[in-house]
Amino acid sequence: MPDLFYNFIPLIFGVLSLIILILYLKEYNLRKRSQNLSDQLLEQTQQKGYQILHQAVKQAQDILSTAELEGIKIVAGSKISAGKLDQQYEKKITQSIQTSQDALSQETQSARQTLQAQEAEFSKFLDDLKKRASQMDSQTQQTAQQRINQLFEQFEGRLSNFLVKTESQTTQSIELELKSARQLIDTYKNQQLALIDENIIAMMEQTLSIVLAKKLSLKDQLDLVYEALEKAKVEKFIT
Amino acid sequence: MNDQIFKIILTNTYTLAQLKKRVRVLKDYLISQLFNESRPSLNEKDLAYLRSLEPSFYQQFNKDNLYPIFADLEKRISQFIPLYLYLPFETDDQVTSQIGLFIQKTYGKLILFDVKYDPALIAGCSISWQGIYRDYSLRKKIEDRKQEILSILKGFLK
Repeated sequence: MPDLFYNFIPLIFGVLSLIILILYLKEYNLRKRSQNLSDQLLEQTQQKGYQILHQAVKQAQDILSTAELEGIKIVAGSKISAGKLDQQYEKKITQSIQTSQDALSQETQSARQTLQAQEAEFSKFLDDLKKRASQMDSQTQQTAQQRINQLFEQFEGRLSNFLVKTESQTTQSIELELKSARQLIDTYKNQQLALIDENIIAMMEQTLSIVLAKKLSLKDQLDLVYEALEKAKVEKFIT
Repeated sequence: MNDQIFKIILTNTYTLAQLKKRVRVLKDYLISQLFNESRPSLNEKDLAYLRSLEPSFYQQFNKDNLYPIFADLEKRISQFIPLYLYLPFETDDQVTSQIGLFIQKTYGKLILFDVKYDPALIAGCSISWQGIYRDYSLRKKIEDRKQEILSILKGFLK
């Protein structure tokens, strides 16, 4: 059964292709025919359009000429009524202008008065401001002067104190240095004098030793020894 | 008996060195005499001292008591504390005798002394007794009056 079906498939396709081809050709003929018809219709419509347009132009020219005539009539009529209107309008405008001028004049007057009052007030304010500024300036100057004077006085005082202190310290330092130098000189002088004294005594002792060794007799020497022994007895040195 | 012997030896003896020498010379002499040993070489001074002693003095010694007596004498000598006398001049026996006699006369008792030479003393003497030193010399007097002397000298210089 399926084999039979498979055998008919190309046949089916062939029939379908033929039908499609026939349909296509039929459609093509239809379209071609409708196109020709539409071209004819278009041409007819164009002709009709041209005719309508021609008629329209003709009617428009008629209307225009009619309108021109009507316009000339209206303009002539309106010129008469316009003169009246102009007079009224001018009158109204003049009145309005006068009213406006009056109002404006009043407003200007009022504004001027207000402005003058404000100017006077502002002038007064400026005067006050100037006065205050002047007062503040003088006060500031005075305060600054006082402050400067005070600073100068303080600086002068401090400088004076510093100078006195420095002078005192310098004097003390110099005095100490001088004292130290004097002490050093005195010490050195005393040492040297003591050394000289020692040398003098040593020289004297040496001289006496040499001289007395020659000049003192044995008896004299013994007498001095006896004297020493007696002195030791008096002092109870030898018991 | 030893006291008597020691007293005789100390007669006319003034210095510790002199005492020691005399005891040694006497001992050597007595040993040579009692034990027939060779006589020690003695100088004139030693011989004079030996001759100055009485014969009875020598009779107190014999072979038995010689060494004990001298041992005792040496012990007594070692217990002596001498007086040191510093002198600026050199001395001999005569000078030391004179000084010894003066000390005995002044202090009324026997004080043995030792002499030491110190030329820096200039004149006078210094004494050391039982570890204490005192200067009685001219040097000490100059030291004591140094300022006075210097002021006099400076017065001269001005």
